[in-house]
Amino acid sequence: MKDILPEGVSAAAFQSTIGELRGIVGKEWVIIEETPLSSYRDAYSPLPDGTMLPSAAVAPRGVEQIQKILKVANDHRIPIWTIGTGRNFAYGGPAPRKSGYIVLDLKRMDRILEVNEKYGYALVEPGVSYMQLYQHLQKIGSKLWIDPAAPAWGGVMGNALEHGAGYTPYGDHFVMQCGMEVVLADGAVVRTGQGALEGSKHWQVSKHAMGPHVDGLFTQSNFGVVTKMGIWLMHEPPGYKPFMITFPREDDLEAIFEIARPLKVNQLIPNAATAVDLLWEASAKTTRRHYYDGKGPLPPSIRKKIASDLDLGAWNFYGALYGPPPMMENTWKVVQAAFAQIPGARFFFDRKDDPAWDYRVKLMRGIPNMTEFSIMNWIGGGGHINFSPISAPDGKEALQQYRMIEKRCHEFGFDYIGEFLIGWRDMHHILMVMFDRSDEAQRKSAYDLFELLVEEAAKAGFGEYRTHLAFMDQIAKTYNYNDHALWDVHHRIKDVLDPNGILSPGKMGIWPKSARASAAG
Amino acid sequence: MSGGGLVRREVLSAVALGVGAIGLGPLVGRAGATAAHRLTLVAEAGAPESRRFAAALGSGELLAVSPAMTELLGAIGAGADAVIGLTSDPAAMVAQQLLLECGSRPIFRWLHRYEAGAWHHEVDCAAGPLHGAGADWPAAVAAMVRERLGVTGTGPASCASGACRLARRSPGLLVTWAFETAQRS
Repeated sequence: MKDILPEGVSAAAFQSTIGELRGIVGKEWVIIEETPLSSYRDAYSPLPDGTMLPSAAVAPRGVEQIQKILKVANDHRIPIWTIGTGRNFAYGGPAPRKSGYIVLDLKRMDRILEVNEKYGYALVEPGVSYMQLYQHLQKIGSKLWIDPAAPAWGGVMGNALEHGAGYTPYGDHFVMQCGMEVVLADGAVVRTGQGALEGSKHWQVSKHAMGPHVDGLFTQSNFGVVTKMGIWLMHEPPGYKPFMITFPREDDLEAIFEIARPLKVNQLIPNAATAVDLLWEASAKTTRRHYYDGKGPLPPSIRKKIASDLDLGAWNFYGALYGPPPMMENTWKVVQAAFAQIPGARFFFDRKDDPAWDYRVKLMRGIPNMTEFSIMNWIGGGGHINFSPISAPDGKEALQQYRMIEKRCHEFGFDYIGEFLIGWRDMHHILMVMFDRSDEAQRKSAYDLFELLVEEAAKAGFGEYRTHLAFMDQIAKTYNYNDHALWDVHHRIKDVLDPNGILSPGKMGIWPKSARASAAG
Repeated sequence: MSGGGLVRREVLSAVALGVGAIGLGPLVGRAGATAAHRLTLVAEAGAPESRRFAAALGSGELLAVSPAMTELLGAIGAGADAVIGLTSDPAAMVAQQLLLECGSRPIFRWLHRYEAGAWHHEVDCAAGPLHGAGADWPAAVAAMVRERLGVTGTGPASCASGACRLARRSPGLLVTWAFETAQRS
């Protein structure tokens, strides 16, 4: 068997590093054996086998051990790849950007340090999952809600740091973040915001302090290791009214967002509402093979039958109202009257025997679950990547983006399976490219489709907000205003804060100086 | 030292792992060559094939998994020697990820895929009981698992043949999988 080593590091130096790491965290928490190490791979990658494989993983228990690990990495110029507890395989899961990196796995740092019922926040470590925080709040009798991402095993901190989203009114997770503790590459520990004031009681209450707001520098980046983070939690409202509206035609998308925009911007619909396409909805309840044996995208006649059988629309809009029941009922009248302008709109407040409805109702009220993984049954084989462009909450723009992406999906033989999440002033469009990972041709097609979509979206003025490891460099290059001035800033910061380039090299296309020339190629 | 020889699809996808390679021997040795092992059996309530397999296997402590799959997020396999399931591919993925993270070792992974009006199986052992099993193939798989792991219990060794349609609630692609759990002191 061929050993995997960090680039430019000899086997002897690597062994020496492993020995030092064992001395810091104990032998049990330095993982080098093949089978346990395989849990740090992206088994659903659109890349061929043998790429993005770690050489080892190390799991520290606290800040002091992290400081020591970083010193070892600096001494030996070993690249490390930091992860929390999340495993979002649509974006690469726990796998490193390049083979040979040592994964810095923060899963053992899983303490919920504080829950503040009065002000509605929690202070957590990187290893805390949504399910863990939810169960903890239940256990202590808290009346606070969490805002989980779709998979319950996701990390509260990691998802916010990756600009992830949920479905309650607190759905923009980085907006709801307040205060961080960060270990820099040289081992210095920094607290942001009010946390910089020794003895402050307002670290998780206010984002504002003297000086620049630096929290964002430590999100989707490789400038430090975040070890504590505050997250705002929603107080349980006196009432909750989830709803679903189905729309019969694909072109209804334009009207949906023209109507939804003022309702969202003015907070009549306060949560991160979603418009979900027919097949995303259907895939939580049935599979493609139940309807069609052929290759390529589903024929329109089959789509029509699925919609009829499952009582779904071409688009299915999920939202919720929160608050005192009389207020919700008044607001609902406005929402209903607005969407009823679209011919064929149908309104639901409950759906029997419908797992898609069930899990979205849970997510919009902060109950974590794993149901969304079941959509992988649609074609089977588990491979998936998310293409995630941003748009404005504008009907024409959304329809343009949808048609552009749908056309390419069909050309490459894939069904369009996607959803739009509506924020206050933006929309996240999530295309789920599903492929059978045992089918090499399909895997390659998924990769090629994604690569083309990045280029075409950029030409049309759409940038992705997040991406799989395999496309970080490509997407970084699409942010090209003034000769890529923004990434130049990222690189200048990287060179100052991490001169040896040990922290997650290549994360979001940010490379240390020593690797930039080869990465650019 | 980590090796590059074990590619990801051998861990989480394919069927290439043999008993000798990954340590069924130690599993058998742990409880004695013929003694019943402490098994956790994962069954998905929403998948008819999973329920049939669990009923046919008839051994082990049942972990019933709902469509929300949150049951898998507990201490899966705690106190057991092995964890076994015939589940949808997503449930298998979640279970395997969690089991690998806590040090468990894969014993085997078999694929069952519905195509062109029939179930097709990829297994790494004699597939005799599956021939002609028709829609009752999960029971045949249970028999194969019992033989493979030396699990005690009674159940059909072969199944009735017949027309094979895809059940309305079937995920259409399922995985039979087994893990030897990490030794706990």
